[in-house]
Amino acid sequence: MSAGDALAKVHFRVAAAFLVVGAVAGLLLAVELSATNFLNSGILSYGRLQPVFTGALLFGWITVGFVGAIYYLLPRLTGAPLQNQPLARISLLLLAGGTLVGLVTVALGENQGLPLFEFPFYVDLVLVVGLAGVTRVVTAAAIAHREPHVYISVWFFVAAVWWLLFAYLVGSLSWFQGVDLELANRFAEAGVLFLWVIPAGLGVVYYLIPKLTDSPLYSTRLAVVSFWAVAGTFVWLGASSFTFGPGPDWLETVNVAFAIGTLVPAMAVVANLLLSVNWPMARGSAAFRFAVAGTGFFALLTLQILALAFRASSSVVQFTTWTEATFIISVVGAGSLWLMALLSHLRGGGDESYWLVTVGLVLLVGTLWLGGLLAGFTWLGSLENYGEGFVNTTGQLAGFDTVRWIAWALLAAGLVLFALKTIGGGRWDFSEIGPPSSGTGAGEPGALSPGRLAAAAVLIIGVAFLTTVLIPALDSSDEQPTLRAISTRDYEAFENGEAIPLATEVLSELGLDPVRVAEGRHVYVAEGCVYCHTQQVRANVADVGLDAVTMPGDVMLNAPALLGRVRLGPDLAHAGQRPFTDDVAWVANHLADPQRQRNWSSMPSYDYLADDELEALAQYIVSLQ
Amino acid sequence: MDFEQLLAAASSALSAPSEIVGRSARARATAEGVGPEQILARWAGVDADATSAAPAAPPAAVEAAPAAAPVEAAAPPQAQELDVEVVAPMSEERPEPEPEPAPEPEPEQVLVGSAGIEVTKRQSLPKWLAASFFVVPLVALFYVASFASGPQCGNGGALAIDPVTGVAENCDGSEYGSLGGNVLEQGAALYLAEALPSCQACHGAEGGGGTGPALAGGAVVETFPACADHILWVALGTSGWRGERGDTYGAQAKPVGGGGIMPSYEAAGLTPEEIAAVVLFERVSFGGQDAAAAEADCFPDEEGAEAAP
Repeated sequence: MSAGDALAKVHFRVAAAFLVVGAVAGLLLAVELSATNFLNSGILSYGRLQPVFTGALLFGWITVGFVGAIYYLLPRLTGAPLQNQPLARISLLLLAGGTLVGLVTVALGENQGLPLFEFPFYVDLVLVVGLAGVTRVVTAAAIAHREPHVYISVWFFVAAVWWLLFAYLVGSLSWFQGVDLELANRFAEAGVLFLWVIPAGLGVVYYLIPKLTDSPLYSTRLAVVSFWAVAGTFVWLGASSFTFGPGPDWLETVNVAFAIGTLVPAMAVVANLLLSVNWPMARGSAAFRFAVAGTGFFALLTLQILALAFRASSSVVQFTTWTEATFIISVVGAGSLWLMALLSHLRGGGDESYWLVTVGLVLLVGTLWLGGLLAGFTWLGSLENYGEGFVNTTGQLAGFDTVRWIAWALLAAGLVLFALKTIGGGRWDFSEIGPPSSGTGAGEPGALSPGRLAAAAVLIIGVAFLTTVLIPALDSSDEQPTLRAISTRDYEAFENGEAIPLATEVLSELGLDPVRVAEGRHVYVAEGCVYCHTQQVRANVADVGLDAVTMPGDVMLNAPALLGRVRLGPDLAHAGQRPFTDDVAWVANHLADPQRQRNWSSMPSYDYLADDELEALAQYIVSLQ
Repeated sequence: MDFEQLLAAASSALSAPSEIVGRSARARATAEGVGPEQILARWAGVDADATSAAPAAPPAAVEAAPAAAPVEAAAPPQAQELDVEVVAPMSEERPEPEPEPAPEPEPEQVLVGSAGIEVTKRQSLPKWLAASFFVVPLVALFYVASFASGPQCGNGGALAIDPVTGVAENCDGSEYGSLGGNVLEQGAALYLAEALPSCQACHGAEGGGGTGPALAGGAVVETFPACADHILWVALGTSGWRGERGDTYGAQAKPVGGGGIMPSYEAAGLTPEEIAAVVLFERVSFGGQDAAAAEADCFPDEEGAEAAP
């Protein structure tokens, strides 16, 4: 086994350890939805566990695992051994260590209010340095290729590491505010999900399917088409989950157009792989089945994105459990299955995990989609969409919650079983690298060199960043904050007298203390309340019962904007205007023991917070006018 | 299984003529130094596990490169246009592999990388696939052209927003939920609606009467010269009217309940505006009143309409 392979193996084992954490967190989250106060002791509360779940799977399992896969595959595809291995080792240490520290901080209650990018800034810094190291190693290895033909997997790997680095940088930036920050966050989210997990996985699967079935790829040209189609469409989908939001309207139209465009990569990939398979050769291998199932989930992703982007379907499924399926399909579906295909190829076995994981995933996505549709249509038919009215629309979903944790039990069992076998070792079959061919490394005439490819990848994501984040941000610079933007960046601003005087006046009229409101807002962010509550009223028929529509000025100066993505609980945009939630004492009691005053509430108890924090949080909620 | 059975199985699995399969199997067997039965069994998928688990890289490199050579040497100019559908994906069964590698392996059709991965240089795609790559962007462009100015009110459930207050409103700028637009048409739709306690079921689609009194021919306006009374009657129904206004109704002081039981449309869930719209429709279509005058009577102004019932 070469030194590069040994390095890959360490990556696989570290990734598998994070997979155990992510799978258990996912199962706990599903159980907590059915059994409200199950294990609800601070670090395992729903709002803190959610970022542990996404962080462990996305950065621990998928990222470290795919980096290992790239280190394993690149020498085989380029005919050149991996250079600069010390840097690769340091990068692994930074990635794994940073993710671990990040998971601990969010579990201790230090969320940033930015889904997928919840880690504190010092962890962001460590991860960015680690990702930069990976990017350097991978790009250098691809440039040093000896094979004259730059195989399509190499294209995907080189572009994907640059996209990940760029997306993570944007996701951890903190100089945006309000809607602009929300747009940057969604751009970065689309970047890591669609431009890192998907292309890195496609690189693996373009290698694996021909390798496992012993037949060449059906068409290299089609694979090149799929590469440019992935690069050209997914990069624009940042705000596709932001339909009817306070972002620019033209951006929503752009998102729909590119969501339609994702049909091209989906068709190109699926057709190419299916036509490549030499079916008699393909039977009986778990690795092959993992690869095909992962490709199936990649195809489903198009449906997921289209449903959220189109306005007509979005007014039904947005904010429902349908929204949650994006992460499940891209990371737990496509990405994990593809990575497991490679691991299963390298060490054999995996049949039991295959069935547990795929049955669990199909059941889970089915539950999220059907439950989302049902909830969405009920919301459309109900004008009283808060308080007991909200519960009446969601009470019928209890059955879906049950199916959800059963699905997660199967899924988690399969994932943990697979991870334990990967950590435990056994015999790995890293077949020897063949003799490099006699090419000069000059490449074929007309082919793109890896260096230029990296430049093109950065250019593409840079243009998308400019268009979908920077231009809207500059465009909104003449907006004025409205009275609703009363909770500003942090309470230090109040102490320094920088708060809007009008806002302070409004808060005093409500009997609230601006400093306490800002402290409460910090608690709201840190406890991950945003994972169940939106603060966003859309300009569509589903939200008419929720009063004034959210405008850009309503969240100006707010960082994070806390607009939210999912309504497992009622919308809080105007909580302070409603009966009961306009009273600080009532809200504080409700947070401490939600079922006492509202026996139908599915919110977990927050009695693990200090009374002082609860009171501040209650002041903040009442301040939401 | 003997050679013939294996040959039949392998050629059906690869969907290629049996003489070609047999010939390539023998050639392949000589090159690898094994029996032709073993090669056929592998192609037929009979013993796929043992062979696909560890496809050795170096032999693959040796066997595919020479396979490509004769074809290229024979007709290099046509290679670009040739549709290599049958030959390329199944390079292993190409006939006459020579024992030593060709001196200059041309990378036109099949390349073999150091990992043992073969790469085809297929030039043509299936027509449906190639066509869809043009159709999908066209659809996307069409979408952008249709909705260039953002969400249109009424499209996909979108509402207009009052830019000052942020309150959702109807597409014509009227208050959300109010009837807005053409009140007379809305009233007609409500009169004919089946879901409510239906007006037309008792009074007839043309207002000719039935279980309930006739409205047509001006009868309804004779009974209720003032729109406000008409609205109140529809809102309250017979039992509500009796409690609030006594035992007679209308200009002719008809006995309440004499013409059958009138349901309360306030209780049926109609808004005051909707009730006024139905009444307006009845007075114009059946009572023969002038539309503008009747509207002024039934919708005196925003506040008046709300205060009337």
